[in-house]
Amino acid sequence: MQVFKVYQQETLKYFHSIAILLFVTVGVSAQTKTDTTETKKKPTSFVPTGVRVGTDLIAIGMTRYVDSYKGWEVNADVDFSRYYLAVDVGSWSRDYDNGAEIYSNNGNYFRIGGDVNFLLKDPDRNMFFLGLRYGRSKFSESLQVNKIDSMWNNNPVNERYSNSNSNGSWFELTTGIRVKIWKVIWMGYTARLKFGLTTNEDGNLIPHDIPGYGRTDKNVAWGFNYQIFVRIPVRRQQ
Amino acid sequence: MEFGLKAVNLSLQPRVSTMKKATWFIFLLIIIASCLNDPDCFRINSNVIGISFRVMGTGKSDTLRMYGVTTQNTDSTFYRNTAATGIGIPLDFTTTESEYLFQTTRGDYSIALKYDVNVQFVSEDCGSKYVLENLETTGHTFDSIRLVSRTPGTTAGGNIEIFRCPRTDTMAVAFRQLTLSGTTKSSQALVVETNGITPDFTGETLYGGEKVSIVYLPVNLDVDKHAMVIDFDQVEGGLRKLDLNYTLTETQRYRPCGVQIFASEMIINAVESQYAFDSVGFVLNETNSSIRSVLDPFDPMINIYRCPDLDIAGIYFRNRQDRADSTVSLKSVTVNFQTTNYAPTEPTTFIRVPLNKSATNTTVTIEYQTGKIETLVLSYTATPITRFRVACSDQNTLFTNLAVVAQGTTLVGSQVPNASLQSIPTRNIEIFP
Repeated sequence: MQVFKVYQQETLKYFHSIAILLFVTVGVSAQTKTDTTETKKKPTSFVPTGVRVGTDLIAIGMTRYVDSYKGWEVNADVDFSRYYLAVDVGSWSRDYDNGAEIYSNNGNYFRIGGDVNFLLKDPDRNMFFLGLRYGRSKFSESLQVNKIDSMWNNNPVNERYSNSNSNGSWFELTTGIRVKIWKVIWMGYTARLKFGLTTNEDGNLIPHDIPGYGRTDKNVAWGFNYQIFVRIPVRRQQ
Repeated sequence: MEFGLKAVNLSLQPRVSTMKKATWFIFLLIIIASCLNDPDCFRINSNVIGISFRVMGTGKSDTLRMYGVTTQNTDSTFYRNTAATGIGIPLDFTTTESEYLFQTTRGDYSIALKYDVNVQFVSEDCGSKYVLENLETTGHTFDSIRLVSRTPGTTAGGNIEIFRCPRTDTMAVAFRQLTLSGTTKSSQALVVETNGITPDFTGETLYGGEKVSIVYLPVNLDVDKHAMVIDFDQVEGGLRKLDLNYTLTETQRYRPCGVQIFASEMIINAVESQYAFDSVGFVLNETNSSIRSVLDPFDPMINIYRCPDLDIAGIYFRNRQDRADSTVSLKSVTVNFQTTNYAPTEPTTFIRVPLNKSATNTTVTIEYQTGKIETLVLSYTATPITRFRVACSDQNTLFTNLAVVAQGTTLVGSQVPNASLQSIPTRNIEIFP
């Protein structure tokens, strides 16, 4: 039953991932066709028109209201026609204590990659994108176990396990929107499908949570940012 | 050629609509995904190893009968009084070494294991889980073991195979009933009651008074090419003999087992006709070749067949009121071409009587303990057939079109649910006394 549940969850996740991609792709494909028929083709300029810098509101909210979490994340992107270079930098730490086990971690991370905007002709440059990221994290974590295992002759387990300055890297498939709210203020969200995690811990502690990636006990992880941006124009939009 | 402007939709409504839909869709998916992220605390430790038991040579599964499996790491006893071809046992994750003692019907065996223990925090509710890896065996007292997978799991997988040396001094013989259903001949397992089976070289009587379908018999490994005669004193059929010849080879096939004697090239000798079974043959393997070598585990290598009773009709007594089977006490049951009394000694719901293959009808006379007598005249078509010709030459008659042509005055409405006599006891006729 346990195996089935895990399998079901994994299947659902993959289904969701594919469903999102299909939804966005089909919707955007239809949109792109409409755009093509509506307007004359202009020469494409790959010179950036602005830099958008923002932060993740969810991280700020969690830091304020979730005792076990502290973190922040800064996001930036710059446009090259319909293509965007995107960079995220952040940090988080988590602390859990259930009496018998105390877990804590902290670390910094960055992500770098590109987005493709599928709303080409929007006059406000609102954005509906698909993208790819490479993420890398440097983190430390520790687990203190103080418990007695009744199965094994009531052997007391008093051990401290840790990983120091470990690295983790992964890839992300991203999708989301960016909407101009007022003048240079933009908002948007990014949904992340994280996969391909590799870590280099060398102790007996298997990473539980990697800053920037999240929990490691599944092959695929979800991430979500709700962001506010300031867009600094560097060139007038044509 | 037209020089007009095409009408285009300049409204942003489609885009806004698409974005709204996408917003809600993705938002809901995130909610669902976040719910699925809750870990399940059930059986989270990866510390269970699977052990299977096999026989060297054939590699087939072996059933090990265990009194229990114990380890110094816990007071618990695993698999108490259990017979199994494979087990899963947990390893102690509070240490990196464990030794398990197997107490079995064949003796006590032990296996020592070493492994690495890793730990991972799961959640505040579940705590930590232990993940074991790099499993290795540091010692054992079994005949042979093989490490298949070095990674324990949350449930028993295939980590270790334990092999035992094959036994070469035992063979299995199966009793089977030849059957004929329509025109299809086959056989099925047969339970026979024996007064005893006595190998001539041991003099010891085995299976005395037992009902068996497979017997495990000793093979004489002392004398090369020695004829082994076994007396099967069956309750049904009397004394029968199985006379075997085989070649003995002394060799070391498996290093842990040392030099062993193997019996092969077995042949079944003809015996005097009064001691012969209806039919005897070697079991065929997957390639349709006869299994003529003694192999462990002891799957039957010889089948002893009994010819089908194609001339036996089953007559069932039924209650007139509720049409259910009725139990009757009988004094005698006879047929018009024999003097044998076919009445069971105990109260019964049915009788089995032979039909005369040399005639087109048979009269059955039934006398109850109460003194009442009934007669039943059965007609049929008796057709000579050639199936089982060699083994069952005197029973090659197929009875079909069975019908009740006359019945005693106390019998009313006799029925024929099955008008063909089969080799397996069949409900051919139902009578309502």
